[in-house]
Amino acid sequence: MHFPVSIPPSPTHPTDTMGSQDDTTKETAFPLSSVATPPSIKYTSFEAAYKACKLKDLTPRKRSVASDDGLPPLINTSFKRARLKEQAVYDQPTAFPSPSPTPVNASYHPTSSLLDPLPNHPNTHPAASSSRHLSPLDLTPSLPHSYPPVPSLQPLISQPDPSPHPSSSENKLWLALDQLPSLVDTYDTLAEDQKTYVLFQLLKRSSKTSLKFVNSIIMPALKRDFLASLPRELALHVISFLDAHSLCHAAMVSRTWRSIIEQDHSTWRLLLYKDGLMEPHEPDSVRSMLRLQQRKDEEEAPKIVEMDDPMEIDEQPDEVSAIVNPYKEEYRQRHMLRQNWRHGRFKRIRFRGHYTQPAQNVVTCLQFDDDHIISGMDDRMINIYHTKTGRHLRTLRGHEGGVWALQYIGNTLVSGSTDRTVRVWDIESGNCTHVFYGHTSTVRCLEIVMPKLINGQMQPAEPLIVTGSRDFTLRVWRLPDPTKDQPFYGSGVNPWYRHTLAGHVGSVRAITAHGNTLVSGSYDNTVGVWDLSTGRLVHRMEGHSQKVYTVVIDPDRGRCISGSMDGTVRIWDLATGQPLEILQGHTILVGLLGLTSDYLVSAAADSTLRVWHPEAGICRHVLSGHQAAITCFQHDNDKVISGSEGALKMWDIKTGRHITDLITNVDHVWRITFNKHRCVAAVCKDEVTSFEVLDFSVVE
Amino acid sequence: MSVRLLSSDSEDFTVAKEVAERSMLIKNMLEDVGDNDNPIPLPNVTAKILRKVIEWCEHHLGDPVTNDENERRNTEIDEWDQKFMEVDQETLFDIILAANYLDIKPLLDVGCKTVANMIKGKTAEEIRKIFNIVNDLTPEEEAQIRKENEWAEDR
Repeated sequence: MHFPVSIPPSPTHPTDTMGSQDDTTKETAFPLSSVATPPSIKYTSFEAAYKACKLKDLTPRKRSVASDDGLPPLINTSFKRARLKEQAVYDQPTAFPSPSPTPVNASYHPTSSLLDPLPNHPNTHPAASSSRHLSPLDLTPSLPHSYPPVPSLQPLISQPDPSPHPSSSENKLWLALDQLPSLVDTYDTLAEDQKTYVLFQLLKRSSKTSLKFVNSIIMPALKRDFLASLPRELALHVISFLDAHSLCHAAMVSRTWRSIIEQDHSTWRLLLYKDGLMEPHEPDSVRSMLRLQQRKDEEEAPKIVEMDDPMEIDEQPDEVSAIVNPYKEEYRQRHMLRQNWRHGRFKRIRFRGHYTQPAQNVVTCLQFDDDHIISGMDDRMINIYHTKTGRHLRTLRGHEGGVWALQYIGNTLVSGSTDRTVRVWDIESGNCTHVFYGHTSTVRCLEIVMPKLINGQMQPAEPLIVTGSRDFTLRVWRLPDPTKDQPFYGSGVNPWYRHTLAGHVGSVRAITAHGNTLVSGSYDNTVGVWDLSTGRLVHRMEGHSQKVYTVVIDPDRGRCISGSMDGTVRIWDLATGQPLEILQGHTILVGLLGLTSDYLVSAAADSTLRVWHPEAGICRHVLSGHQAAITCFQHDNDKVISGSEGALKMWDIKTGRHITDLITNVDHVWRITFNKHRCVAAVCKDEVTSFEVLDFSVVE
Repeated sequence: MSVRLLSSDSEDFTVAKEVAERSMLIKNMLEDVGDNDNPIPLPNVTAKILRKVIEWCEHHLGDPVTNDENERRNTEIDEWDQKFMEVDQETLFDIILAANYLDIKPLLDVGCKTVANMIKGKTAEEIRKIFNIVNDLTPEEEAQIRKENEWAEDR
């Protein structure tokens, strides 16, 4: 017998070979063979539909068999019958007892063919009339030649062949192939859920190889390019849950993904706050920049089409280089800056300080911005240096005693001294424009209090200076503008004087203010709360057993916090004056406190710092590593930088881990202060005072 | 009190009113229409997806309503929801669309978080594989974008 050379490849081929090769490995050869039919696709669920099809002429026996197997009589195929003949037992309640026979096994029985209820003749079988091209298999590129050869086989098989014995297995294959079109067409006529059922039965009879092949076709087809196919606002909702690192990777996936991610302002904006690169209450500087830019653009081109929001730009750019997302850019810069801090990457400038004699060169105060570094010393001088170069700009002379307190805002500098005076200076000219007398002892602390909008009103009503002195009092003064206001050097009535706050019975060591609320800490072991508008004492809070050295105010929580020589930190209620918490752990003098939204930090003479939860007062970390009393520190929500004998250290505030020593090999660190980009420290070695500027800016 | 819902493929669902009202769309409709025995047609949701959505709403019936932006931003998904979302991508896609159409914000969030979690921590190539996406960037463009995003690797 002659067969055409090109045997049509069929997806059942691998099944055949594998199935017949090794019967003992059926378990693995047909991975789905033992899977029970899910109730949702069981044949019984089609019963009603089937009845409706008016196929009631089937014999009861067939029907009962069909029900047993869960197979519709319409496709009552040979493999089922084959099994009926082969197996004595078919009492399993679920469809197709497993391991199921393969179609080839089934076709071993010459009396049955694949689809015997259907006529074999090509003219009458539905393939001739039905629309083949609708078959889903046709859509599968890997199976392009399932059909065409088959009709050509028809004559071969329909020839009466009375001797089936020679090469019977080949013959059966041909017989099976002959049935393929009708099988497929039958499939086409089925309803959706019935198709599912049939497919399930076929899969149960399929080898791993076949399943893998089917899987490789199905899996990609069921996948979804979510970002590209979801409506834009939902795609943006998806990416709003991503972190910056994942976003950067996702932006490399395709043009569409890149365009969606890069144009999305809101996700990057949210990340700036979420990742702590912008403080919770920090105004959105990018938005104001964009507004400015937009206004400028409108002025330059007044006819420009109005845009509600720059976020709405929707078209996908052809050029990959065309997108600049200002929020992402802001994120990138701040992230890189933070990484520089985290890993201690900076440029260092060091310069010698100016002072009269080596023995008197303690730097008592230090403040800086991008242009000036201003230091107060106990040798009476105030020195101003250029931040970027360290060049000495000028010395402010006038105090007749050591300078122990200093603060500036803009061009206005206020200082307090052991000479009992308060002086106001014009930073640019270097002139002292105002001198306030009144304190009868050293001015030990001062604060410039700028008006803030609190509960709908400006508090205080105008800029003030508050000074604390060893004469037990605090004094309140209006803040002069050195460039506009008439100079005042102490003759006659002082027009700038406001109040004297009397009540403490010891030196006033520390002050802090918010709006009209002023908090003072005194060597009389008490903490005072004052109203700046009236100058009245609101609460005098007792509890510390020794001198109070430091106070901070927590207006958001309505509290203030004090540190004392008794080794404790105490939290007080501003409204009632009642003690709320006593934070214990330090063994001696707590000389310094700092507060940010998330962290309270205390520094003590026991050579440690402690990081506390500001609400609950729970100690989160003890920063130990310094060899002597902590002389200075500052923190933000990322880090703590602290100075003591020998070193300036940086710590991770979240973990309490020591990151690095920023400065080593010095005798003292007098003062340290940092802003976003720089850290400035006043240090002393061999009685020589110098300044170090550590610049963490991003160099591009 | 129960409500009848009609899927796009005309399947009739009867669900408890409080379950249906997890959908703001249905809630508002019910408020507008008042007590009424007619089924609410949902022409954008198939029976298959509607069944899933109802299952979700029934499970989350007692959930407190959160308007806390931070809580919504939290990318963690509870165990039940994770299991619930173990579906093929096509179904997940349809659930997201249905949650959006029916205005069920917590379900929309869970769906979008599930997709986000499939993206999270993966390389571009891995993401393409997961979603069967063809890379339409030239090697030069890819190199350029990689360079632009290099900073994010410093962690």
